[in-house]
Amino acid sequence: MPVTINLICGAQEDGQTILSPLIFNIDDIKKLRDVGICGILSGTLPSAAQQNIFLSVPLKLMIEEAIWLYLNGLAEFKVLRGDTAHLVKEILDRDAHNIHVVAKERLERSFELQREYKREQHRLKLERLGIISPETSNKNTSDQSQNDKLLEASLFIETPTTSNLLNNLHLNHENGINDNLLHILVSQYSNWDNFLLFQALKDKGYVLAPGGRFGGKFIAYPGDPLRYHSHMVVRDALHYKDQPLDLLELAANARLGTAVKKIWVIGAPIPTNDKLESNNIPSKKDVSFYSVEWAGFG
Amino acid sequence: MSKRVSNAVRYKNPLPIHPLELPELIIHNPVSWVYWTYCYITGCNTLQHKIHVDIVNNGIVHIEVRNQDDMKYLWENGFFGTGQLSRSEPTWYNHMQSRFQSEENGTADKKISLEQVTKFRRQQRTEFKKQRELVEAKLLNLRKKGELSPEEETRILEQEREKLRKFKDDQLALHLLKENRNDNLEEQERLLIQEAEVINENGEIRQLESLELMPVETLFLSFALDVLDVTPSDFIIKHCMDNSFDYTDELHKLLIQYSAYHHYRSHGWCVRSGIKFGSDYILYKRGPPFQHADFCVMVLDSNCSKPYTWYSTMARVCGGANKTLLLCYVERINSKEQILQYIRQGHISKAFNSFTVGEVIYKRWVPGKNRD
Amino acid sequence: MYRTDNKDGLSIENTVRTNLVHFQNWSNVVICEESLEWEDRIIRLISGIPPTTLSNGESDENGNPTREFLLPISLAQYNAEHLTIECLDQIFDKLCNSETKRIILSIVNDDGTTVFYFVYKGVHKPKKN
Repeated sequence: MPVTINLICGAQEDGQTILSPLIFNIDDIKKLRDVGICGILSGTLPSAAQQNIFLSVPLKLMIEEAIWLYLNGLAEFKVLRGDTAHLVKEILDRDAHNIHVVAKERLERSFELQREYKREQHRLKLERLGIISPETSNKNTSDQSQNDKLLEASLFIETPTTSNLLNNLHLNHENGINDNLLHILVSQYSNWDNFLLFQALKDKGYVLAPGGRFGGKFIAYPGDPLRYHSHMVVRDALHYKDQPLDLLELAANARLGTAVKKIWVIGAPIPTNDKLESNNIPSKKDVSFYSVEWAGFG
Repeated sequence: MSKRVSNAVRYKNPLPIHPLELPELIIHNPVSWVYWTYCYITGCNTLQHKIHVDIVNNGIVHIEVRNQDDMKYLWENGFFGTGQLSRSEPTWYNHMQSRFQSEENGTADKKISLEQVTKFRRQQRTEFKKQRELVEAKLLNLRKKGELSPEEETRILEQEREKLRKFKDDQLALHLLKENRNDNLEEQERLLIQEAEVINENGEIRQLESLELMPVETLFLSFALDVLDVTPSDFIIKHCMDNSFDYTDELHKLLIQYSAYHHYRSHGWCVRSGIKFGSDYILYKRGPPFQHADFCVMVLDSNCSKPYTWYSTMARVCGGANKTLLLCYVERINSKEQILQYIRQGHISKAFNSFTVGEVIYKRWVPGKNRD
Repeated sequence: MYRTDNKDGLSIENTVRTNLVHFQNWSNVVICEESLEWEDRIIRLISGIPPTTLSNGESDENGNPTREFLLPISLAQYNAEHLTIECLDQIFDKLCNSETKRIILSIVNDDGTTVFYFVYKGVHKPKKN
């Protein structure tokens, strides 16, 4: 049973929707821990709101973690809340026709229900007033079209306070809404190669966490972070062919690595000859890794 | 070696330019006025000779000072350059000297004395000559037979030369080993090879170390101070631009690196390479023998923006070494064409004046600690 | 062989060799024959025996350190660099034997210093301090 990743639409930068993947369910968090996805607890404790050392649910995932879970069939997405206008637009852009049909059908259906209801009400009213008899009520009368016009004008369109469409999106697997959300996650994501590094390290059994504090993209643990010290700081992915190592950067990171007892890991996905895979979700690629540390002399 | 001289005396002058030593001026004694004026007019505080630099370009420009006195002079007057076989001050020769002296005094039983090495070197030389004769004979033989095209001859010559050079290495080690059987062969061998290269045939220590100047130091010492036998415009055009007149990325980088270097030097800082900390420069109040450097400088283009992890890495590296990270932003205020024209016309100072420098201190702020 | 004798003395390989022999006290330091053409340069490794076994290095049966391989590379204040991951792959592929776990990157700076870093192929644990 896949866990549910709740996506919160955050602030928009340059018209881009920023989605934050969150998990609220403790059992789900336990399940993820078993597959080496740890995330970061980010909820404050109501009784001690001033501190940020002890935190509670929701668990915030790295984008890489969310994508990895989804691609491995371990999770599904659900849009929780937030300013969804851009999200809707993006989904509309991608899947405009489907959603248009769904929305139109829904509206038509609502109108039809209203019409039926109103006609019934109208009929009952006329009956009560004795203008028509139940027997004749089903016959077309001469002023039918006139009545219909009045009726159409009285139909109303509901302005919902919540989006039924979005709330139900996660249920519509067949509509590929989850894939759409994945697309948004991927498109807001600056460097797909970083995901390939994440994936390759995950395959090697490492548990990854954000590496900002150590000047890297990730830090990697050989197992659960509560049991092991982290061994390596992983740099943002390099381009295989045309991004030479910055040797000053190397010197700084090797020095830092010596101080914090971590080796500096650099990696680049090896380009393949195939054209970009369909729907922008590339399949697995080999990643070439190197680990760098000070040699202890010179 | 004047080891006992205190640092304050040894490093009296912060730059290789010294104030004129003038006699005391006694107001009521007109003779002293005359003498003072005489000294003032004839006095001279420029160097008696320009310091010679060897500029080697093997893809990367290396600037070396090889004269022993000049090396010492540049180090003592402003801490310019780095000894290639030392941590910073070129002390390798002195180390070797004292090592061989102590060996001669018999403190080390299994080590080799200067004379021994000299002897081996001569043996090796004879052996080498024998080999060379063989090679020459072989070539002559081939030539006589007329089977040799000029290209082939160069090729064979090249091959043989390579062989001979290898032979020189191997032979030496072998010979020395035979005569010095010892428990610790590896160590023995290492010392022998090392020492064979160090000692010349007259039994003297060869100076293998030179003082290397960074390109910006070379520019500073030729442009701002005029103590080297190279002119700044020659240096830039011939060695850094390869005589091409394009405003390349390399030229731009050199110019902004120099702008920053000159900026700090002219504000009285002792500026040295920051490679150990992954930065461009480190700044000393006076110099390495006096105290640790206080600042790490990264020289950046004024419009440069780095990923956040870069700043945090640099800040952590500097913080770990008790230094402050200084981001030095250099802005180009004249057009590239204008700057190229200045360089072509030899107006180096105008070229350097096309840049302005501003700096920012980057420091990690910890809410729990930084209360003040 | 000697800087002052011979034009070869100025090559980056010789700079590293001199540094190893006369400053770091390495023995049997030689410039390897095999070379790799990369962009417009020729890459050659240097090999030698360190004075003591380096971290994660191997020792022979007598506890003496064994041969290490070094990759010389230049770093200048204003020149572009060229060492890409692809280049490292090629070096491990063409210049090293299949058992080589790591090489020592030897960076020759234009400030007169040479600094050394271990570069392991793949993801590797840090050395014990």
